[in-house]
Amino acid sequence: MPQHTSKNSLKEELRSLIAEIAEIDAIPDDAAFKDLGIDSMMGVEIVAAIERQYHVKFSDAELSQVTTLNRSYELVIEKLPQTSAAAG
Amino acid sequence: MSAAALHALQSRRGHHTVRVLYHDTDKARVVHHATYFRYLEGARLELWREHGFSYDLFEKETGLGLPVVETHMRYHAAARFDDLLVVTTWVGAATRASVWFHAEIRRDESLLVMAKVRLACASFDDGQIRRVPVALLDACLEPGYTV
Repeated sequence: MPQHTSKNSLKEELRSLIAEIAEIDAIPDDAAFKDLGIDSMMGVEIVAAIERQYHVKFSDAELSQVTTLNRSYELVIEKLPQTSAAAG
Repeated sequence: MSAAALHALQSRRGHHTVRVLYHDTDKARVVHHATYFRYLEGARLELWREHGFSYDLFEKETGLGLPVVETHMRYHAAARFDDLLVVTTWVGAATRASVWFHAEIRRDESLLVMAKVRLACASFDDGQIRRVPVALLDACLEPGYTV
């Protein structure tokens, strides 16, 4: 699992990850993915990539909650050990 | 699909034989262009069944379905009534969100159709997209490959 020195670095990692999958240059914090052209299937791909990178698991109910960068970040933070990402 | 989401994989291939019936054809006396989608669906179902994945059971047990979300078909030559066709299908690309089934339809050695059909996975209850089931991927991919 990547080591994070701050919450901001985790959010930036997520921003890069999502941008790469969606092939979009800019992912604003609170922009709805659907408004960025990210459909629900791409959302599943994003979740799968997050799960692989951070060794976390999203439930089916949480899949539909991955709607913005900030919401994605919140979900990941909840799942990571506190010593990892929540230190900053 | 982004390049980053693609995974190297090795797919099994299914070979499904179908005889063209009269109702498969149209007024021009060739197989109607939409008919080929039914042939592809039959080939996919048989590929899955051959490797232990019953789509009927899958629907009943999980409440999920595998809707077609994108297609591409190129028609090289026409098929006609009573032709015996072989539909070969395999996984061309896959992620946890969707699977591209590639296919070709031949009459003897003649290539008639090249096609790609993308399937996703969705809940019948709420229509929400779900992960593609591992059981489907296991049925289609050679042992040791996954996404």
